[in-house]
Amino acid sequence: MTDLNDSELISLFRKSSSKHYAFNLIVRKYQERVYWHIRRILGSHSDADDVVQNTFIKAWEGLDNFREESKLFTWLYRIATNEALSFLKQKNRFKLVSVFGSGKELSESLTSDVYFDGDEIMLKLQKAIMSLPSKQRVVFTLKYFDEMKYEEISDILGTSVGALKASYHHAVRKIENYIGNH
Amino acid sequence: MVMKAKRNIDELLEALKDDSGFRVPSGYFDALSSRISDRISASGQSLSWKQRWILLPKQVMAYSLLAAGLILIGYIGYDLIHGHLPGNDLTEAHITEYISYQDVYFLDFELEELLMEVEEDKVYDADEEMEGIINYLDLNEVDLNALMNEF
Repeated sequence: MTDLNDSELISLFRKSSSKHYAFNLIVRKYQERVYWHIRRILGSHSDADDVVQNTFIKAWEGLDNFREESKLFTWLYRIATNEALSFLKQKNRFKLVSVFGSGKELSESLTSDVYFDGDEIMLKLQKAIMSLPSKQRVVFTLKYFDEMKYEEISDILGTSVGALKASYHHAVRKIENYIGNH
Repeated sequence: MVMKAKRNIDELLEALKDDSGFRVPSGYFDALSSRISDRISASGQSLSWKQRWILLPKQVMAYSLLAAGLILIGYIGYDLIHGHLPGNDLTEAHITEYISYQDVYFLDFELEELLMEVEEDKVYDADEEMEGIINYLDLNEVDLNALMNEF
């Protein structure tokens, strides 16, 4: 892990001689957080692996134009979220299933994922989370697992704080109902 | 009862923060950054024409645009000066009128040959029109001065 802060990393990236080196440091610094964020949205490791790579490639292409108006981490999360949601959309289009119906399929795929070895209760909880509509799942995971403030989530998703609060509230209710009914 | 169930769910969700049940292959994060670097290097080697254009040095781009602009201006300017020039629509009457205007005279058989070529739909391009006539006379070894003296 690097001791350099984000601004120093970005400055290093903008020098052509240290571009690759700096980007490698950025990837190493944020890869785990970005990966787990994507994994919680998608469930499957192989899908998350594809999307995390695409996320960093997009970051590589766009970092020269990054104006540092938001934190580097927030910017990366925004790319990761968009990539994950686009991935789901494409996958659902291919399967001719609507975005709103995708949660059920994702929750079922957990059972067959070799990189999931939670016990029965964990499986039930993950299925409950996966059964949420994709955008609501993003809000829930950012708030609950990443413990982000609504303002930060708003910056990532471009949604108002009020709407996010309502979305999170609905997500929690749905998870409770799912657990209660299964 | 409801409160108890909710508390249980909260506790369960809290437990998920410590262990989600999700796993990754052994050494996955150690190798991820180099896999990403490899993909970046590979994509750099197979740039699309659009990316290549963007990556061209600004000076080269500026010169290319300048050259393209000059060619365009030259073409438009030439067209404006010389007007729209006849092509396939060149008729026998046009040729006869042109020759009389130019005050150039041909022997009958030469004129006949020339007009036959027009009938065969040979195109006389703007630049080539006068040049074509001169070439024709030259190829047929017609002495233009002698012709002028004769008439």
